[in-house]
Amino acid sequence: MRKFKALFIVMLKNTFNLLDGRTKRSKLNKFMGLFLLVAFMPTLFSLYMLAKEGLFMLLPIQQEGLVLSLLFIALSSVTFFMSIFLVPAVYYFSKDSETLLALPLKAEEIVLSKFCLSVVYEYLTTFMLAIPVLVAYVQVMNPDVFFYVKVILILLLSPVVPLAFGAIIIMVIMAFVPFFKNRDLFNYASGFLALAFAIGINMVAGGTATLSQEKLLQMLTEGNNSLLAIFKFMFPNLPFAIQSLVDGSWISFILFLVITALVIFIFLYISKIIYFIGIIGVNETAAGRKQLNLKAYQKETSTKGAFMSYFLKEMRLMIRTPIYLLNNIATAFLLPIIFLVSIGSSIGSGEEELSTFINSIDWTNPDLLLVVSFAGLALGLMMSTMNLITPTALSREGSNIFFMKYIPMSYVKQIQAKIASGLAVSLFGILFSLIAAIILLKMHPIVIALILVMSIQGMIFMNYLGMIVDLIRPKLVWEQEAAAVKQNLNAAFTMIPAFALSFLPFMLMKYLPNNWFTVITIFIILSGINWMLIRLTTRMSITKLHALEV
Amino acid sequence: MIEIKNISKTYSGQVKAVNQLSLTVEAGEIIGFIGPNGAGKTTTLKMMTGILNPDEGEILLNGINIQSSPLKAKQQFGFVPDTPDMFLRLKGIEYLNFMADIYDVDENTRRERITKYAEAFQMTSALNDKILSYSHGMRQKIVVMGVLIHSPSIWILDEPLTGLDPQSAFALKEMMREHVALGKTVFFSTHVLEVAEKLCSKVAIINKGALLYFGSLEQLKLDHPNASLEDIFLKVTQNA
Ligand SMILES: Nc1ncnc2c1ncn2[C@@H]1O[C@H](COP(=O)(O)OP(=O)(O)OP(=O)(O)O)[C@@H](O)[C@H]1O
Ligand SMILES: [Mg+2]
Repeated sequence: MRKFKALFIVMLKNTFNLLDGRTKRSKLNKFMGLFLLVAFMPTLFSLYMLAKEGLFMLLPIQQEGLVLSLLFIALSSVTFFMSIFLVPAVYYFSKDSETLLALPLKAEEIVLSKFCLSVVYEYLTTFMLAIPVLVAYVQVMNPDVFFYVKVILILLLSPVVPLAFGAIIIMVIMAFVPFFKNRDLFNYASGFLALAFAIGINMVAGGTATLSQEKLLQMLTEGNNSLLAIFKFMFPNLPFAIQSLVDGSWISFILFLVITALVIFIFLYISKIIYFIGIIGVNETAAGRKQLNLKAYQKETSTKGAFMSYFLKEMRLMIRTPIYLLNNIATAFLLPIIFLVSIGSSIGSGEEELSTFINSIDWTNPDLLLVVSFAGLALGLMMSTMNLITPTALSREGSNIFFMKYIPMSYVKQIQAKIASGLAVSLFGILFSLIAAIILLKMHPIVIALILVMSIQGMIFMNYLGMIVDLIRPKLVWEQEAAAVKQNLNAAFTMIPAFALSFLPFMLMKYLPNNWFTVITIFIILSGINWMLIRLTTRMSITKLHALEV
Repeated sequence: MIEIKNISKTYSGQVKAVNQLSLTVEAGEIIGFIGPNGAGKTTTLKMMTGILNPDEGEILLNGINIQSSPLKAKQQFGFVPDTPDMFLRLKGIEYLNFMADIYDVDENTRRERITKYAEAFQMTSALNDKILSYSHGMRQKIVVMGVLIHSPSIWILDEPLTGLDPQSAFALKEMMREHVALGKTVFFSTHVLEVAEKLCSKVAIINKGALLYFGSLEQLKLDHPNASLEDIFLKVTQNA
């Protein structure tokens, strides 16, 4: 147990960069944290309001437990889903795995400390989701003191069962399916599975929303928290947790604890048998060691020019790193595909209203000018934000960023090449979506041109803004590539303005005259803003990279 | 030619990694930069290459100031960092070609050099694989080749021989000799005193950021008669 404690503390410190006493939190960072909190406030608040409204609606029919059930089901499902990505990263592909293997540690000790680490990882999401709902619950229900004690314990333990299940599944796969021992293949496979899952959910949600509403109402009227039964709990301890919160039963609470402990026990027992089988030989990559033939050799060694070569290097590294491919590039396809699938399937399944509506749009109607322009702008902003290429362009370099400083290529040119990679993928996403839209919506050529022009303005804005954010706060210290994109707050800093700028124009629309003059004025203003942003990026490329020391 | 004039560097206002260091390396010299762990070797090399900005002092490479005209200065040297784990997902050949493009090497020259150096380092069959699949020594070799491909007049190498097999280490040492024979400059850090003894025209010994000795090894031995190289090194660095 002592070994476990030491191991866990080291991992924890390492993950959250506490070991590095030298890095002081700057004022800027604190400010950014505050900014983020403020930015998330509206989401948290609407969650709170939703819970409150739900409670008031459910209270008369004695279904208030439903709110808690939904909360915990959401928490557990999200955690379980995330565990599919988290477990391989933490248990198998993290840099420390090989070092740990060489130390005289038992499998359970390693696994338990990694398990605790992943539980801690989940707390951010758990508390973000849970606190607004629980505040509403407390306000409406006014529960006794024991409720607080129980709810805190339950929240702290809530990631345990889904993470244990996720880990068991992954461990079995890693131990017995040799294919997945290659980290790259694993990342590709799980990533595309997730994308397919996202698209699938979208389709199912679209299809069943109308159906289940009636059923739901019928169930609701039956009363006395019987609704809890409709959820097939994948997580056997959850019903007891909810029961103990709703009617204050201590027996349920103890049962919750017992089942949770049992799951941990089973999990450790299984991991003792199979963890080492899976981890040995992880991290292999294919290598042919074949000599190039002359033609291929000449092709590989042709001159491309510094800028082009740098751009190609950016693209290659992005495409060949599974995490980046999925996060930075696959997203360009995701939105158009979801769009195509959901609209396409609605039309296909004979929803008359939609297709008649689409057919009835008169694209030449001048009233549509502003809507179309703003939609184009929003498309450009969204497609460029989602790929996260420029806000992570420096972060992805990690500890290798010093390379940028000793080669004889100006910082401005290097940054431009990085931005070019962002622009290329964004433009690709925009064109891909436009083609989808053209097929489905039968748009007029002028409308298409207007959307394209406006979306390019949005694209330039977002890509340069992203670059500026990364120049200001690159995240260079990370253990795994995933951290550079997924655990990088830069993403949030660009997403928030992107959402705001996408929706704000629609709100202002009714105050603006709907004609070409407005459209052209907006275009000129956007060009001006972009020009300034480009100038600023140029200036910051020089100053920030010069000041950067690694 | 390298001129280092009175440079200092302090990390995050606390650790004084390099303290008022000055030295001048003439063209045609191989300099071995030696000192205990944490002495400030890497820090000095990073300042020479523009990765770190010195707190004071200046550095001229072939007479060009790295601070005031960085681009021109960076064309003068090739740098091998102490960790060769770079661009792991590029193939060896792609990395070399990328470097050739950055340093503007024409097509025929780069092909010639890739073939030549790949043979010298026994890397020919590995060129078409990703660097990720290379061993530590192979990674070291590909980074060295990335420098050789643009044939800079100054070589700045941070522990270039660690991890190389005897054959490749020999090849690299031969290349260093040929390079300075052409009137060019090599400046490299090392922990292996024998290498410094056999290869270098002069050594610079550094400890705790301060230069303790700069001159030929023969002179150093004359100053400390009847002592082995190791003893001299331990004595010099201890007295600091
Ligand atoms: N990024 C950094 N931040 C703070 N201090 C650092 C940093 N890098 C190095 N140092 C400190 O600066 C001093 C000199 O380090 P440097 O890396 O230059 O040594 P070195 O001579 O290259 O050692 P070695 O032989 O181990 O490579 C050491 O005391 C080290 O702790
Ligand atoms: Mg060093």
